[in-house]
Amino acid sequence: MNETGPGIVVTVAPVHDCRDPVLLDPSRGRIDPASRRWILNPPDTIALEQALLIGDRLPGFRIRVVSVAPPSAEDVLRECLAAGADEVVRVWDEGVEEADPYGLAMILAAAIRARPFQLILAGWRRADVEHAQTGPMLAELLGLPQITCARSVEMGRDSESIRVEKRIPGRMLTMSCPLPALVTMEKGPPLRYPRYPDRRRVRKIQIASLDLGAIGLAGVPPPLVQLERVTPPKPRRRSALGAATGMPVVARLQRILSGGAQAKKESNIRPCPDRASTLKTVEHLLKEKLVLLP
Amino acid sequence: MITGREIFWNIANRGMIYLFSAAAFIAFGYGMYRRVSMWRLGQPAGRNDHAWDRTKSALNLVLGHGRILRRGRPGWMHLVIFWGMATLFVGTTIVALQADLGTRLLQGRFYLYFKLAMDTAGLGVLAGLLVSFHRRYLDKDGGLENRSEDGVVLALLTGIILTGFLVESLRIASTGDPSGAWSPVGNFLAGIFRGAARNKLNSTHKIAWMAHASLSFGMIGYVPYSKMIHIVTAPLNTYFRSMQPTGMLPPLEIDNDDIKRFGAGALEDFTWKDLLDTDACVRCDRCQSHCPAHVTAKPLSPRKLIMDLRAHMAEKERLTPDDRHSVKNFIGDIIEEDALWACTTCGSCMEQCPVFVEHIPKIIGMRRNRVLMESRFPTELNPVFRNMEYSGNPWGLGRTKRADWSNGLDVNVVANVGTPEFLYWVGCAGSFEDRNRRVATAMAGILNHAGVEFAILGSEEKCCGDSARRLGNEYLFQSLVQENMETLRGYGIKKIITQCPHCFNALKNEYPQFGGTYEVIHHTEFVHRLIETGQIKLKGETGGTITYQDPCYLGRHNGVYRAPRDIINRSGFRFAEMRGSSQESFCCGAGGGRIWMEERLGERINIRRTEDALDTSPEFIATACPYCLTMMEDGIKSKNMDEKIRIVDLAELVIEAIRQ
Repeated sequence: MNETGPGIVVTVAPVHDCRDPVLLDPSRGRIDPASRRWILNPPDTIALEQALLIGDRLPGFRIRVVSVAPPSAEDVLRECLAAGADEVVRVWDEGVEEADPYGLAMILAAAIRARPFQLILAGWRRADVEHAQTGPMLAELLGLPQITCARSVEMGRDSESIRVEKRIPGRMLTMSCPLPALVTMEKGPPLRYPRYPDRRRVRKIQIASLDLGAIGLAGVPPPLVQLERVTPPKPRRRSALGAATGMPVVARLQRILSGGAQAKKESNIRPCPDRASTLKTVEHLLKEKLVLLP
Repeated sequence: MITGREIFWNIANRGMIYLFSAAAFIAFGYGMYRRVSMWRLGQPAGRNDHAWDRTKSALNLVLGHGRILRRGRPGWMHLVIFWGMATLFVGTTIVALQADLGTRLLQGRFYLYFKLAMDTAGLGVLAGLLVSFHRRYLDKDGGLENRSEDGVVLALLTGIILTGFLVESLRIASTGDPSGAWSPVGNFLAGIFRGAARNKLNSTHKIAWMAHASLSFGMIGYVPYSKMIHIVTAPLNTYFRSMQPTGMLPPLEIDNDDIKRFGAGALEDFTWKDLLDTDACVRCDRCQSHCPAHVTAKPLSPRKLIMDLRAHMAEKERLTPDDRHSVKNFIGDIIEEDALWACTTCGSCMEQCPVFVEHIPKIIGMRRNRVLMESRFPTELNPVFRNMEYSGNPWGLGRTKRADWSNGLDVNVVANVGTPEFLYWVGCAGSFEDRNRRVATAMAGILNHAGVEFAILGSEEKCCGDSARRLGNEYLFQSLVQENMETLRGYGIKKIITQCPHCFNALKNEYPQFGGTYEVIHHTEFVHRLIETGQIKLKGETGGTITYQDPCYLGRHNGVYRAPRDIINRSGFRFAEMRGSSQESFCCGAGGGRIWMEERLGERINIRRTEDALDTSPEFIATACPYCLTMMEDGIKSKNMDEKIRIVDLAELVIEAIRQ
């Protein structure tokens, strides 16, 4: 493995595990660090697996993970090493926490520019703020062709071009593109499960940590877009069948099942199930307490 | 005159017998040496403890045939052959002692009894051999596979007995033995020869004697090269069998940095006891005919697995240590990968095995290699492992939502009320899965009704790790154990009630391996105790027929059979036992982590078991396990019987019987 040779860069962001409750620090509109539990941004893990799959087929690629992440996220970044990445570079500095997608893209571009690469893979968006901007901005800053929301990336044997598949509603598109390039991944095989010896080996690896100065940046521009407020969703009402339509439950469910409840066009309304089977469905929903009568 | 017998009557060249025996014992010794050196390919097993207990129970099981008699006909068949051959062996030894050491045992009354005993034994063996022949070649009983050695052994034994009787009857015919009546078989046969010329009798006797001697010594020499090795290995294996609960898997020293290999990825990774197991197996079919995977046409057969290991062991022993590494892929070429993942760890094979072969630890050992060393396993397990690791439950649902099932119920969380007398360990299914949440609710109702002081851990409870361990992910299992133990230690928890038999088994049998010792009670046993002490009263007038599915990890692995049945009987139902119940129970198909995998091969195990249940024409099917509940409900639904039959957990049955 060539330490400085060409490779695939994967940008990985640690994000808060959104299955846990999000406690906000009201003064800054950010997640309270005490409640934080890092996981790898799920779309980024798909990008990493894609890189590893390319590496399986064409050995000799060095797979580098570049991440803008605080020291507290080092442990989850180590999972990238356990899964098979050759190197993780972590960039952090004062003020970086405030950076917006553009600022993040600037940092990533500066960190990546110093290293040889053929291909950059990124998740299509962060699972927490869902801007879906960093990848495209990074491509622009590095002057690279880009394909977003890909499902698979295949590298040519000569490592000169890639063939990418992405899905749009009802179609699968196959595109190709010369390298170097950037691809953001939407879906794909899940990140491989680490072998236990690898997990154990990477526990001791010191993850390279760079500040902005080390990658040639004086600072990042302050974000222009500000988060104003986070509104929790309204609790879901469970009495779906009761809404004040004045219709009897069975009739209303019949209408929902036929596609008629929300359908605007006549053509969307499907043949209606008969009353007996609808009645059965209603009984089932009530019995299983899936819906409650008002 | 004292009755007695001239040893070596009519045999001029008695030196022959020493030649025969020398050859036989050399063959036996060399063969055993080779087998032992095969076993020595394995790792240490630490089975040298409890020598006295082991001796007692091994003698008991070998001489008394406790396990073997579980199957009636073949059991009795083996018992007669075993005791018959043992008697004949002792008898022959007495004769040998008289011939070579000059003991004077064979005279007087003892000699007469001796004759009678030997004839009876011979007749018994012959009867056993007839049954065996019928079973093997005429009846083609079940899954017996006939190899040539089976025929050879049968012929050899038959030959020994027949020539023995022939020698005896010719001698009686020739000498007119006055005590002939004490050898009824020999005497009867002698009647046929009476009247023949004496010299003819004597020369035929010589030939028969030579045949008898060579067959007998031939058998001794043949032992290590055939299935007859079980004469040696079965008692050994019984002596060295695991004295621990079958639900307890051997721990790996996962944190020991000096250990580089985990699990069994090659023959040498097994213990010597695992390898001895393969030589103890007599291919009797009991494991395989009780294996839910095999019965539903999956590629796993416990017997084939053991046989494949044995063949591979012999193959490896022939190689020099340097060449042993270059052998084909162990898992893949020798052991089919799909077979490893088909096991539900129900324990039926180990429960049935008459010679105490330990199948599950081998299968889990190989799964450990796949998961820890190779990261090769059915893809659907990847999210399961990650979810257990991050969210503490297999579905990846929010950790903080774990206590949501108890909203609006009178259930306290330990963090709020302090250490209770009993911790109610709800488990992942009871906490998150809709159907099993109703069981948790019922259980909470019972505990409150009986005034038991209990609390739950809520969001601090994590998956017990049972599935992780049985899927071979020992790393994940031990991480979960450590986290849970820390929580339990923090609150000083001593007594735990579990809803799930898998949590029950893990907490009871496996957490102590890591220093977490608690009094763990499954909810069936706890509720049973509440009923017995009168803390709850069942108004059992429900009626209807009910059957009960034994959860493997409650029944077979932990021996809880009585409490659930007693609860059912007291709640006013007509109880109908399924085909295959208690020790013989058939798995629902979900254990061993199978619940998290697709069932792509063969027919579905839960359908099979549902059919067993339906045969009892029940109105209710009761169980005491979240997995069984799910699997049986699926089975009933796919049979379109879900409107007629209710699947219930015993806790639900009891709460209904209380509230009636």
